[in-house]
Amino acid sequence: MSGVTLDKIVKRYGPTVAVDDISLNIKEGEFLTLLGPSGCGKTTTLRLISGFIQPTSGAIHFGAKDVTGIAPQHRQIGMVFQDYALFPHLTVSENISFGLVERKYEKQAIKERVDELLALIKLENAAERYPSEISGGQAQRVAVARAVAHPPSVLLMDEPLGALDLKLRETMQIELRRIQQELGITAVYVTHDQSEAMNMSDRIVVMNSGVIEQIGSPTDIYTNPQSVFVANFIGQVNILNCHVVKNDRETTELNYQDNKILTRSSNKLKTRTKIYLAIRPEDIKITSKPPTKSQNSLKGIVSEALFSGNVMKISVTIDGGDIMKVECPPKANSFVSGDQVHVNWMPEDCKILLG
Amino acid sequence: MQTWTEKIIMFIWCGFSYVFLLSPMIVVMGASLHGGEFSAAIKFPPDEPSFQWYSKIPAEQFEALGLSLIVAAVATFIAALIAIPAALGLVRSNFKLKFAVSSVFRAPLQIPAIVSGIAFLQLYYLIFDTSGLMLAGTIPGMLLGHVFIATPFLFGTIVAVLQRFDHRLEEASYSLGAGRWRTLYRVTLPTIMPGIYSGGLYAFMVSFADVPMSIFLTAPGFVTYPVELFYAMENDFDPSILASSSLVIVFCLAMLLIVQKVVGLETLLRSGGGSAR
Repeated sequence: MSGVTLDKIVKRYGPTVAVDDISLNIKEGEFLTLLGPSGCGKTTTLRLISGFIQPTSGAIHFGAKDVTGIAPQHRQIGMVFQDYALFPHLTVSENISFGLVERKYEKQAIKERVDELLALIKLENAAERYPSEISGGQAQRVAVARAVAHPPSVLLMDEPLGALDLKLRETMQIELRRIQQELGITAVYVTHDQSEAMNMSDRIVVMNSGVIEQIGSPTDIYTNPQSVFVANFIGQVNILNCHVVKNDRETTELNYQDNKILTRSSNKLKTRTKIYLAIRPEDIKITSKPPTKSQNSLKGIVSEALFSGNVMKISVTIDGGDIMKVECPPKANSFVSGDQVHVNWMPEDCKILLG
Repeated sequence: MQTWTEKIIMFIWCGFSYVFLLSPMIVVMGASLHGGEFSAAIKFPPDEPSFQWYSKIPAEQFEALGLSLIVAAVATFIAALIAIPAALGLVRSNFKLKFAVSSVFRAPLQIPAIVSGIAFLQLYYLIFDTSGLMLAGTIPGMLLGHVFIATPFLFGTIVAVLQRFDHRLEEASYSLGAGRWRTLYRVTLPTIMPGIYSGGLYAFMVSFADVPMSIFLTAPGFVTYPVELFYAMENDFDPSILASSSLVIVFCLAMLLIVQKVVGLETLLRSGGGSAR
């Protein structure tokens, strides 16, 4: 087992650049997720780490070992595929022992390891079944057991839960995380599902059109997005186009369609600079009267109010045309569309983004 | 829900199909039980049923049957050795003449077998003229022709199975430390095996039943079973031919049942492959 380092990796297909100069340091034992929309280069990056494709330029290291140019079968990787790719002609236990046979384990050692893994994935009773005879969730666990049977340097997973239904997916997220932590294995996980990434990862790498937008822990990425793309991709966000009026030590004053908005001073921005202001829907309160304290506040009309169980999802059309999404507890907020309201939020709950 | 009319139409149509497909065999097997005096005409239903004609099957026919089985089995095996690598190579590569090469492997299907037979005979005469080696009427000569007509059947089914093959199975194998040959042996071949079996079954039957080409490659004392039957029909027909044919029909049915038990005819006919899901 080891960490993985990507050093200035570029992958071109003719004139298209799939991965554009990515450098990344994955720590030993870390669960790292590559997250992004389809076509962002996340799967290409995973395939570069696995060795199924080779980079146009740059180097890949597993620990101290340079594996650039080495074929996948000599890389000591474990790979879990989207629809599992279990060998249909082999039983569950034969699937799990496949890699052990290739690595020339003793017969007795193979048997012990397979039993141990069957216990880990709780499938002792299905050992002699064929892949066509087990459920999707079970196949998923077999695929993981097969990948980690011979402990790999790194476990690579390509949207492994994509084919499962929602309930099972949530169970499997916990299960996968448990297996990864029990084995203390370095894992790289590819998904386009942000909640999956948030639930499982130590760190998330948000990718967009071949480049890394941001790297950070799930909390960091959610509360402190560095770009409009990241803010939009992880959870819901309201973006207001503003410009800077003045900047002092503690606060920055912004102008949004002639409304004064205050935010924490974090940047040394010049007056008149155009910026994007990001506010999460759950940080906004709705009142029918203007707020008294030093909150930011905009006037508007409720255009839609949806009750969805644990939250009330309200859309407010701000005077000026922008629509703000608000999420609030349903009990205290009985607004209906057409109501005149004020949307309010604290200066520390909004964030200036430059692009 | 089916209405009654639909059910009746369905029943009649299926019944008709079965009668159409099975009646020739039933007539042959029935008439082989003819128990009376020698008669040059087929008697169906047979009067005074007996197995007398079964004891009068000429020994040459059994010899010919043996030759045919050997030729068909060996020809199928050699055809598989040619068709498997050819299909693997062609499906996975991408070169300019890919379709041309692919058509070459299917070409024997488009040539009437009688033309192939004449061509092979001419070729063997040419080889005889230049080297003094006579291939016509020998096992290698016969095999060459049978491999020629059997290969396209294996090639076609294997290509079809490979095109549906999930390449991630091979990637999974590589990721588990298996090299190219190990992956071929442990993953690729086993998953395309149903295709190889079903293609092989076709190839075997085509070779076993061939008359138009084999008739040119026989020699006195070296005759395949269908050709022997053909001669017998032409020259001295008697019900022992029906008896011998019936034996082969029973033999083929028994083979099918065994294959069904061992491999599963369902898999064969679907020529599954790729994935059992």
